[in-house]
Amino acid sequence: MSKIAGLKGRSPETYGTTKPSGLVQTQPVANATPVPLTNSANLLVPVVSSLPKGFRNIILFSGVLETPSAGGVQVEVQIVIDSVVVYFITVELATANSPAPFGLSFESAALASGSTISIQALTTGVGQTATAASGSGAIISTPT
Amino acid sequence: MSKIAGIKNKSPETYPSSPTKSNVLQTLSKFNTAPVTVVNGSFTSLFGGVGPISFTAAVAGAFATIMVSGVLESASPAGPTTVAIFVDTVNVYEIQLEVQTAGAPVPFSLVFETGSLGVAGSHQVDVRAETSSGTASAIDTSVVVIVTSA
Repeated sequence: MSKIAGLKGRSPETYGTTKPSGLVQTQPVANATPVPLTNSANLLVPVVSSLPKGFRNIILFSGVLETPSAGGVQVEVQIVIDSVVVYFITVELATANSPAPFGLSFESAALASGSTISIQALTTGVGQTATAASGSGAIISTPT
Repeated sequence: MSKIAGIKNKSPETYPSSPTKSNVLQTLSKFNTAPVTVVNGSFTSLFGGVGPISFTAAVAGAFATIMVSGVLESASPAGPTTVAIFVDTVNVYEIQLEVQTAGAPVPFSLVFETGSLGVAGSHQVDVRAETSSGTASAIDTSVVVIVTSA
């Protein structure tokens, strides 16, 4: 009766190391409402805060950008974790009122409790405007 | 020395239950490298003869995360084209894109996670497109579906 749970000096053969559960968690992120973009950060979807502690997160997002400016503008689409831009792409909208699709994929490191994920966009020129629409994505949280 | 690994009648206190099984029920994928002509007036499947993805959710309340990529081009651009994800013949998510220059390919990407697919059973995922006027050509369409349980 010496080898019961909790006793010290247990043998590794008898008591294996703890394994991750293997359960992934997924959650959609979407916004059917167009988002006006300016030269400061604009959220494309609500901030995601319900993330499992210690999990990595695969962040996938797609949408469409458009500008009314005849001269064209550049838009930066960013993935932000805990106020840090961890990944971004720049999309050039060369023609007015012409929808341009975009897509981002990024995997985070294991996140601490209370971490947040945001997806935001801004025009790169002061005074320039654009619109983001059809934002949709998913966050796949996987045990490390 | 009776309680070593592999011996039957082990006590649950000593030997914890097996690790929980993954809740990733299945992953599925398809791609179509053949060009598909997209027209105005009706949605055309971008998978052509390859056909849509079909799967059976073994449990109730499953979810599907759908990822699509591809390219669209037109010999005579004429307004935006709509690309949509259909689940069980329902348009669940769509984007619009516009080919500006003849012969210049425009890449696209769509990501969508469904709500609960309901009771266990068969489901179908398709990617379809429709022009606002004229025709376009879609090529290299690829889709990956991850089906998970709650």
